[in-house]
Amino acid sequence: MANILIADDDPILVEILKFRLEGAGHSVTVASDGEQALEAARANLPALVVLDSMMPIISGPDVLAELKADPALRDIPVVMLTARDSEADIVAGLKGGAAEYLTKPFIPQELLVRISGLLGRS
Amino acid sequence: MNGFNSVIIGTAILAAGIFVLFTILVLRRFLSERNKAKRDRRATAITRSYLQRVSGQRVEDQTDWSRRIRLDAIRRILPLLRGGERKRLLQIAELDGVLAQTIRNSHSLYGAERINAIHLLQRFGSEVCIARLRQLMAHDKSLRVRLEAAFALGANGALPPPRETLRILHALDRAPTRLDVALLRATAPLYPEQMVLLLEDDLPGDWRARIIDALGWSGDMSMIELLAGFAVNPESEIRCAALRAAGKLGHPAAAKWIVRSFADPVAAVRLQAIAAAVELGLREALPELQRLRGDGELWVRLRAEQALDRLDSDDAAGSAITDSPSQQGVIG
Amino acid sequence: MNWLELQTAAADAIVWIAYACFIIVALRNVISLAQLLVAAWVFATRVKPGEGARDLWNRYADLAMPITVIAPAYNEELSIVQSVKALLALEYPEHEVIVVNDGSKDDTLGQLVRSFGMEETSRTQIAELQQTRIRATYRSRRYPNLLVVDKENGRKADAANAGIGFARTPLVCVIDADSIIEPDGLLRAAEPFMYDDGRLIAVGGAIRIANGCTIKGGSLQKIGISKSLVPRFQTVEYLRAFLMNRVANAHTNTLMLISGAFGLFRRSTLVEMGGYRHDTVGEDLELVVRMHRHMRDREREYRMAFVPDIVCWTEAPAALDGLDNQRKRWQQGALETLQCHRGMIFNPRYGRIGMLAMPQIVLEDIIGPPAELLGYLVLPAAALLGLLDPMMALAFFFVSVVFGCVLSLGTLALEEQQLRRTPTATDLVRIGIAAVIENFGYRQINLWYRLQGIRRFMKKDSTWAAVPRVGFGKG
Repeated sequence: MANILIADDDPILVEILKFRLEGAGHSVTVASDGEQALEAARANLPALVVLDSMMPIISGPDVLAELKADPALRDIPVVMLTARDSEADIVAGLKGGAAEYLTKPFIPQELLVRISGLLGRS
Repeated sequence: MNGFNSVIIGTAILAAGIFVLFTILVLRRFLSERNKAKRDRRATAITRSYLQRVSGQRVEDQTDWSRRIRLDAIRRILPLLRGGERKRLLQIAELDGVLAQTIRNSHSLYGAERINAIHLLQRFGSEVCIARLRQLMAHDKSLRVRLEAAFALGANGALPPPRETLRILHALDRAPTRLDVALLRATAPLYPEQMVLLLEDDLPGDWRARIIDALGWSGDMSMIELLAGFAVNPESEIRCAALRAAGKLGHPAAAKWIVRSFADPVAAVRLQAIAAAVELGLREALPELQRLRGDGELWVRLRAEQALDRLDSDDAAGSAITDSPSQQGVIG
Repeated sequence: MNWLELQTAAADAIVWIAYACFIIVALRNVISLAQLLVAAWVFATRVKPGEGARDLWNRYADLAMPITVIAPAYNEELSIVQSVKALLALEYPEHEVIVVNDGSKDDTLGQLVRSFGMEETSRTQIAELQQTRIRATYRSRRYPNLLVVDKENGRKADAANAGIGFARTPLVCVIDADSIIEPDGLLRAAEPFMYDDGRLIAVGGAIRIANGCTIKGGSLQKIGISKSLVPRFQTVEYLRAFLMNRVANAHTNTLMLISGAFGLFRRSTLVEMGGYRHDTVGEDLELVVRMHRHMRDREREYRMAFVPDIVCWTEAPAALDGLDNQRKRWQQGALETLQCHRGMIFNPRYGRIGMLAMPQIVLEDIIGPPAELLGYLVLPAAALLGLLDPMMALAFFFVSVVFGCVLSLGTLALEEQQLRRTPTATDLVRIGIAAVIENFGYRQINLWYRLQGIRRFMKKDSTWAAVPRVGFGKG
């Protein structure tokens, strides 16, 4: 259905997301650090990005800022995943342009529903 | 061979020993780094197989994954998942014998190892786990392990009756800590009647106050009447606990005696009354709070001021600092 | 005859000095070895931060005692906004941040006011502990848990005192404005209070060196190792101080220092004691020593705890130039504290603090450094003159330098076994090498700085007033 980019350095988390998203018929690209994520985003123009906030090389919020600064990528909805559920972080993430914010541990079903919502909207 | 010789030789042997130890640790780290990719691949494969089974697909399970390896993978999956999927995953893992490994670890000779096992049992949370945790809480020889087991049971809403908890943790012989308070609060919704009965025992004053405090977390509104009685207790600590519990229950029936406590001779009680009034959002307390702005005690004036701010503004979003040193004495 | 007598007397004196140096250095190292063993024991039996207790704690968040984080700031206009954002974002159920602008000459205050939308307010100070005048206090509507106090310039102690006076929470955490606190540092440091029955009055935590780490937005992004040697040496020193000394001392109830870069205290105790002293360069050491004295004089039961997990990162001097001043200041501070509280030394009234901990500081800070430096000169000389068994000079080398390697590598091994916060195996080797070569040169240079610190103390040199107030706690 849609091409989704997952940017996360935890292979287990990637596997869980991939399993779910591919199960729902999406195709998935994986990036394991911030740099790769940006490269992949530019190369594939995914329909949606799932971004972990704690990543090597370039952190999640910084990747988000770069995506939002690029006119070609600006409109791709971004779902931020974070271990921290502090209010300040979430507010900062949403202000930075994240479409959705999910904290770990998450309910995979919920993520899927949110993602299909975002894909339907755009 | 004199003393200096032995100093030199002793030091040299020690240095060689430490050097070998350090080299081994570096080597271990090096190997673990080199095998990381392999470990990750294996953990990913295990994850996939579990996810497939959770979603009801039939998979040929690879039997060369030992229980220990599965346990490691499960340990990494658990902090990521929530909800029904996680529960089913744990059930399947339990069938694979992953739990059996954990239970074996919970019999380890080392306290730290037993506590690690307790943390995992807490996450599995199945009946077998609860049973094992109960056993550990009741019989382990280390108080620290018993305490950890109690926390794990508390997190699963499976604590034994309060009297037993207090006995197992040798609670009444020592002063209560904040975690004891947390345990009592976790017990209150499970055994509200027993908590009330416990109050008839001959208890140390500070423990009695903690038990009254915990009644606020029972979610049982019939407690309000009982608390009203404690609000006029001669002990100020008991009065404080009653007010805090009433604030937590948040039932408007307590409003009348909360406002009455604004005139309590003990400052700590007045502070607690202010906090309870804020919890209940008692706008009818506003005139009384205005009066407390002229209280003789600095802390009371400050808290009254803050309470007025909070009750005035609509966003009472836990931002004001609601604790004070006089509260310390009550919680511990 | 006379000449001969003089010669024999001189020879005797040299031999005596040599023996004294040998014994002092050996004693120092034996104590350190004992501490390393105690620390290893503590770590081996330690319970890792558990989820059960954490979970209960999260559920009943009001049980976590509210904390006021006090950050004294002096000329920090470049970094203050980022630092304060990081402090506001710390993971804790309820915490307030008080930034004390200590009469900065730059635009520290302006930066804060503009970035956080601060407005002047009249907040009541609960206890007036500072000696300088408070100019104003500022609050923000957007950040209700931030307070900025603007005051006339004093020293760090004075700024911290002003902040403590404004705190309303049962706990206060005094830090340096440039300390980088771990996101869950407050939670971990406050954990001992959850198990406390009312006796705990202070908690210290492990501090590491931020040099070489990637820092962004006032928080640590990635742990790294500095490229140059001096910070690497200090990394080893900090490991020794925090994983070996403090852990062992806390275990034997003789914790004597909680670093100025991060310390958690009961507010009521600090206020009762009048806060930090203004007239010493070692105010963090002095505070804890006086805290022991205060509690023991009043025969109150008390406890101080130490969390071996890392709570905070701090930038260390990157070169010898800069390190020298820091070390001289630490040495002078230690001497000032000892002088002020000399009545506690070997005083049975102060229990193990008087009988063990204070004498240990004397050994470590007063007689240790000169004895070791003197030993390097006297022992080889005496051996050459044939006054002593040459084996003794060799033994001295082993007892000081080789033993130093044992302690450093041993602590590093402990770190790797228990905490594993070194990024990679290669970095581990790098630090390992630093731990060994540290004993050839760096260690001696440090002793020399300490000696200069002693000289400065003797002369009652007042240059400290001009020393830039870099806020590193004593490693």
